[in-house]
Amino acid sequence: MNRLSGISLTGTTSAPAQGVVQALRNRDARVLITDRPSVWRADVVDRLNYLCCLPVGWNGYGAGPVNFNTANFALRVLESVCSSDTPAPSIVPGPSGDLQIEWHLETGDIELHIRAPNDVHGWFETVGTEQSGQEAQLTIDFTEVAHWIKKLLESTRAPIKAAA
Amino acid sequence: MPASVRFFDPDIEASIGSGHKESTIEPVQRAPVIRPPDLPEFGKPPLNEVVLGVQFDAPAGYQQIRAGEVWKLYSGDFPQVQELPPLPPSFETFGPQASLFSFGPINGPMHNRFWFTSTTGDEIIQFQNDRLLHNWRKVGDQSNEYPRFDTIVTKFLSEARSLEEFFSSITPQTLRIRQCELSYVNHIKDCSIEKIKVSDWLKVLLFPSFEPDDFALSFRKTIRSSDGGPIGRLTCESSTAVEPSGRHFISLTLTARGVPEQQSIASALEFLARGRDVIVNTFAEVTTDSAHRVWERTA
Amino acid sequence: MPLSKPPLDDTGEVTPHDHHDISNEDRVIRRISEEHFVLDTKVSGGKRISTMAFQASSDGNRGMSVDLEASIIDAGLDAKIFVTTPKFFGSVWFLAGFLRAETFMVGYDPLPDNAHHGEVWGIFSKGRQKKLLNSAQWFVEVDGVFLPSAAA
Repeated sequence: MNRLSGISLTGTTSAPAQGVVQALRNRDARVLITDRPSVWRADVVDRLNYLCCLPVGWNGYGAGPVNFNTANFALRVLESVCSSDTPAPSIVPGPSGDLQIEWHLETGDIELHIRAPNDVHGWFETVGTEQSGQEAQLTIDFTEVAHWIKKLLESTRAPIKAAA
Repeated sequence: MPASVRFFDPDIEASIGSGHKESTIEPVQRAPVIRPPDLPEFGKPPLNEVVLGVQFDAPAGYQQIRAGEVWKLYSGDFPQVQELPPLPPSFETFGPQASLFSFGPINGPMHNRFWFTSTTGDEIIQFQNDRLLHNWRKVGDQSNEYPRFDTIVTKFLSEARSLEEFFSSITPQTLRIRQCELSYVNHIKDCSIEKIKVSDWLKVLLFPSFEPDDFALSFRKTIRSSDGGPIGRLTCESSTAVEPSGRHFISLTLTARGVPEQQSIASALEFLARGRDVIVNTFAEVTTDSAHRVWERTA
Repeated sequence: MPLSKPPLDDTGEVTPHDHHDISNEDRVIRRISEEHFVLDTKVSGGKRISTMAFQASSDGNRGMSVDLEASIIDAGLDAKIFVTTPKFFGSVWFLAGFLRAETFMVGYDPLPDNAHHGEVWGIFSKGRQKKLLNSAQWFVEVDGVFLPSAAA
């Protein structure tokens, strides 16, 4: 099966094709021992699953659950910017199926408002600098967000190194 | 950046004018699909399947119970229908950690997927409430020829327009397309020998002193806009595979997936045309000159 | 005195407006769901309200839903009980005049299940959301959740 998106008919197990093609290597059976488990992944997936099942009216004003595609896109965003030891963000629902990913650390704040897939408003602010919040309209490239996270975490870790 | 692709269907424009006063759909101008003059061309490519399609926001007011009405849009040419599990959402994103693998899709309510199949079985429309895809494939004795990209994409344009009109009849709206994808699935076979030799066909794999029993490889390449920013990815996957008869062959799948410049059907078709160019160029680059002779490369 | 009918469009939906019967001294209540509590190591107690609590809807008439205290009281109801029924929510309040000074419009949008429903219309930029967060005052307080005005 085309694992990328499942759109190919070749080798699909969901309906008989014109001849069943089998790949010789079962890719699903591989075990990657070099990948470190992510600190954030389990919590994020649990939270997104929960938000997709919120009851209508969860906010007291008739809001519906987070949009399923938006939640999946949010996970892809985090997969693109978070290393295995990035702290898990807070994730909050919006009033229209949207959601916001937030980090609030001693050194500053990041908020990613995911309005829909490919439609993200990013905001970043550091504490103790003269620089006010930095904003960015983002679609699929989140390299800048990764830099923001790195800045926040580097500043967080610096005092520990100094003490050692 | 290849020339833009524009499409015009006078029949659709006429129907829009007469029946859809409230419609926000705009007619699309068409010229023949512009093929870059230096794009490699093959008389007998080893294509086994081509898929193209779009992923869009779930339309307002549409419920799964109306899937039968969607089928009626296409049932003249696609009279058979099957119901299947849905395709999960897929998105290309970029950042320093973006990896080929994405684990653990989010659970949630999903619309089933429907296959509307042509009478010959070689073409299929795949529909769910956030996807529309058109597949062509080899069938039967494998003698059905690939009808070429411009034929398939013109059909897809008509199918997408019909779907957009249908959704607009529920409540005025246009398809908001978030992602496009195009896949070319090649089955490279050498009927003259029992076991295919990888390095005869793939330039990227050379084994000077031995022939592997089997292999699997994948790589990705960013597709960029004219200003250098990423707009999508080309993904290549290849491995050895075996037919029901026991004969080995090489599967080579090239997929272009990414974001159209606008959320419209016209912009989606521009991305698909760009994806075609990237796929064909990459296919020519990763396969050997001797393979090109077998496949009758003409350009 | 009940609020006069709000302006409607051709489909009967309330259109964005600034209602003349809502005075600047009237309090506008915004319910805060527990889903909007986020961790923040910088604040006392480590938990505060997200800016997303002050986000307008992108569908419907595109406002931020609120409850109009004067309308609730005028109907003979207890506002704190009203905004915590049927489910407990924390809530905050703003003066309508404060919102208008921030160039928001404060309107009346009665619903079948909430006759005292209002809307706040305007541009909910990140800076404005933060200003709303910093200016909000508890109407129904939630223990352990930091609000800047309560700490001042």
